[in-house]
Amino acid sequence: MLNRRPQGAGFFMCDSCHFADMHPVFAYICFYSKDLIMKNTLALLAGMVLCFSVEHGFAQPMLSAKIGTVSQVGQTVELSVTAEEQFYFAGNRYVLYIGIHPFSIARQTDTGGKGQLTFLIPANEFSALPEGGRMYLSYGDIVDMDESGAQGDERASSVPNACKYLGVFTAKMLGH
Amino acid sequence: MKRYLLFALFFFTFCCTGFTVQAQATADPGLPGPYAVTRDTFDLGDLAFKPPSFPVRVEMRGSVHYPSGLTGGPFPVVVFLHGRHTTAYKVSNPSVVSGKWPPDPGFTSITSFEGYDYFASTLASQGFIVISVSANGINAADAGTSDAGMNARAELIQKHLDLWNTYNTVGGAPFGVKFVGKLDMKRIGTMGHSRGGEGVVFHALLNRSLGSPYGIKAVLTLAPVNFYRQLLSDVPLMNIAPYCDGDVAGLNGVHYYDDARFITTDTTPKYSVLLLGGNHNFFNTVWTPGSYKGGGASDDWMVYANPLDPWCGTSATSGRLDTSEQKAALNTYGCAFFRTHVTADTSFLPILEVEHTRPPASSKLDSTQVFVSYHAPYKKRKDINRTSMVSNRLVNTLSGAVNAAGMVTSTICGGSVSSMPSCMGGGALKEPHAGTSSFDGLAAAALRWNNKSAYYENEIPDSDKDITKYRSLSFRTAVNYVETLPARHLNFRIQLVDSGGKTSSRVVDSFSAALFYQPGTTPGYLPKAMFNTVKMPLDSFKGINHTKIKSVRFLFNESDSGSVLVSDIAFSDINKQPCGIARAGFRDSLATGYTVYFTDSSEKNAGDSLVFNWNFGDKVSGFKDTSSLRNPTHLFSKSGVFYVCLYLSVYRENGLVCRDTFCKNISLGPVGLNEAQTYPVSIAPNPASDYLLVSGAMPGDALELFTQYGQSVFKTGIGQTQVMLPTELSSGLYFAVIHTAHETVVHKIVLKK
Repeated sequence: MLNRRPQGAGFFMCDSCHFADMHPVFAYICFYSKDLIMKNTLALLAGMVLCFSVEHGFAQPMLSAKIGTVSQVGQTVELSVTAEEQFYFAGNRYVLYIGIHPFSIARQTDTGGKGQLTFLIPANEFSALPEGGRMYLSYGDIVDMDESGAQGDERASSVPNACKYLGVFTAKMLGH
Repeated sequence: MKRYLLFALFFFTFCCTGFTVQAQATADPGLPGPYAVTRDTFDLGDLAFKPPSFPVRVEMRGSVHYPSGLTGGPFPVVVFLHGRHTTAYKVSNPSVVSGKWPPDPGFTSITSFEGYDYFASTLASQGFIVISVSANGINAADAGTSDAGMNARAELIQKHLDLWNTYNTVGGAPFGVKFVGKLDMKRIGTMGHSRGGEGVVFHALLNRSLGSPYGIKAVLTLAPVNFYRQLLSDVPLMNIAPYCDGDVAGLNGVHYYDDARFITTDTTPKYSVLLLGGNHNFFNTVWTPGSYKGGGASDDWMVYANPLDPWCGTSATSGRLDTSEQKAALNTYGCAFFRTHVTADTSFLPILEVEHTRPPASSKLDSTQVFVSYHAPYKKRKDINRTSMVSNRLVNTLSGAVNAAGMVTSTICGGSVSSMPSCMGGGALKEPHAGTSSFDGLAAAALRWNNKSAYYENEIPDSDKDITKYRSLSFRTAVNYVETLPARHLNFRIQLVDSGGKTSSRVVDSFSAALFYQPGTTPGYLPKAMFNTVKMPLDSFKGINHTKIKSVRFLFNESDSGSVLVSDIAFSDINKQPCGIARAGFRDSLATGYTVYFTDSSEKNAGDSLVFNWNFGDKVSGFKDTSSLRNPTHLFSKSGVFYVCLYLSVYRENGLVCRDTFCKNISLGPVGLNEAQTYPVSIAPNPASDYLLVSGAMPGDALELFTQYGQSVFKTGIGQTQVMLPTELSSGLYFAVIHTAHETVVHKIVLKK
């Protein structure tokens, strides 16, 4: 089932501004706000917005997305990404970036209210991926993706429900 | 807080002071038509079809809206394909949704294909048969395919057309023979939403690859994805882009328009419609929160993007369209598009070709909320500067020099990311027209100024200096929000310079609201630079010699500073091919009572195809007040005087070339037509220069000339056959109205000085 995430955690957490750990509404507030009074005022208003939003149900699977299993089936490496909520099922596509390399062919097998995407990566491409490449799951393409991950970081911080940093790549993930 | 104050300033500037747009009378395509509508569904099963390119079987299911009774016909056809959405919901708890197909036990199908019933109903009332097909099976499995299921979507549409071709020829379950002979399979339009948008593009190409068994006359992509950048040319195309799309936030459908612009063999137009407050989901009632019994509906901007954005969020001061406005907009512009290109109804060309920028009332929008862009076919325009190559900074497409004075920047940006600089560097979601490492984007002239004496000029070579065959000057533009202060409403002038040194200029915001600072502040998403067409009538540039135009200047003397991107600078020759001897005309004769026979007496050139649209001036008769027959019969509702008009559209090899209108008063007495009051009045020559010869007029009759904007510029009594025209009248299109004692006759004439 979509969404139904407890709201309100991290209500006055703007001082730290760890965007990726927050509900996106609060992340936006932190991003914009310049002083604590403004933060808290806006956060209060946002709480009212969220009360409304809960009723309508905002799914935020990106916030809990993480790498699951990585296994090889024939000539394909299957890399799963899981989430505590179902992934969006809509027009755009999920793209897994490993370094600058995008992968968008993925089975979407959300079950029991949990999200699961299984990216299908040709084994030869997987083995050629650079060690230490930064991994991002993005809803929609990141056109200007670079090796440093600057574009991914910017997207993950500014729109945390559309992009998540998943750590660095190592070929040793295979089999785990 | 300053950010919000600036937004408020923007809001005031944009919404309250704004711009001026000329008064226009526009036909309204979004109004219900004359037919009552019947809706049926068909269902061949969840696994009835195996698309050749797809790993699993999918359903064959859909709905059909059609004129009740199916009297007449065959009717033109429109096919809808929805996008990717959850496929099923739990019957016992509809908020629980699934992406599986077929649905698990306890779940039932989400009927996304029903989400456009409102639009289908309007089209059917106007005489279309509209088929909306379900694609849940493809949505359930497309993510794991290398083409995101696009080929399967094309195959699904083709399979449905095959099915309906069978219904149309021999019939079949569940409809029996009801539809036999009722569908015109050579006049079909398609519309796809979201992934369905790319699906209809793939379908048009598939149908073409099969030898075009079905006549795809128009393709509408609605908030589409564009993963694979397929080029679709040689068919009229409209892309609708909702600015607050939270799902396909890159508005990638703009490339369908951009990519197809410069194919010289393409005789078809491209349109783009920007809905400044639209989102992704509200076009579909099944996807709209609160309007469907099952789950999965959402306001996509709120879910995927930023609920707090001052423009695209849902605060009281935001710019968001509500659900009814968004659906009304699709209804209006979609009907205009399909009626123009599937049925050859020319009534709405002024809307599509950006001659009338005020939205029709049925759209519920105003000129600051919707922007139409139009790219004329190659043979109907003259590109001045395509701004497509680096060299276009100095030499334009006509090989004329490009000059700039006092500019901070005058260069070419965008296009190929490997050879041209980024226009703004804002990122793909903020620059939908931009390219990628794999695909070129839209190249444009980047023009920045900081003083009022700055200008940018394209010289016109002698070989192209006569622009009298063209009707408009057009270009696309977007404010460069990176180099312009927020909330700044920009303006500039276009100046034409003739070889004698005479100049004439007009301010852009007299014709378009396109020079707005794009709203919204969400990092990575907004503001978003979308290019919109500005079109300026050439006959509004007065006091210069249109046969000897030397240059087109952009004078930046209206704003102290600013920065804009400009592309597609062209003269458009819409409707400017000569009609030749083609003229509208008709005779009328009484049948019985108030029934009048109208007989077409129009003249045409060899090879012309004529399309007739009649208005009998008898509003009480409802939808019967109009006809598209060549020789119609009309039963008038009562005695009296009726102003009957025949609107003639003349088509040649390259499409519509001109229109002519003939109107006259029909007087019906208590016993019928007053025959004595009908006699022919004609005007010659056409084009005219100094005089008109009016034949058939009587002493006491009067001649009056109106501009195409309805301004009376000359009136005189007709004392003799020859009427001398005032020397101050400029070249252009006029309506010559002859007032007689019994009728008013209107002829369209062209003055060439």
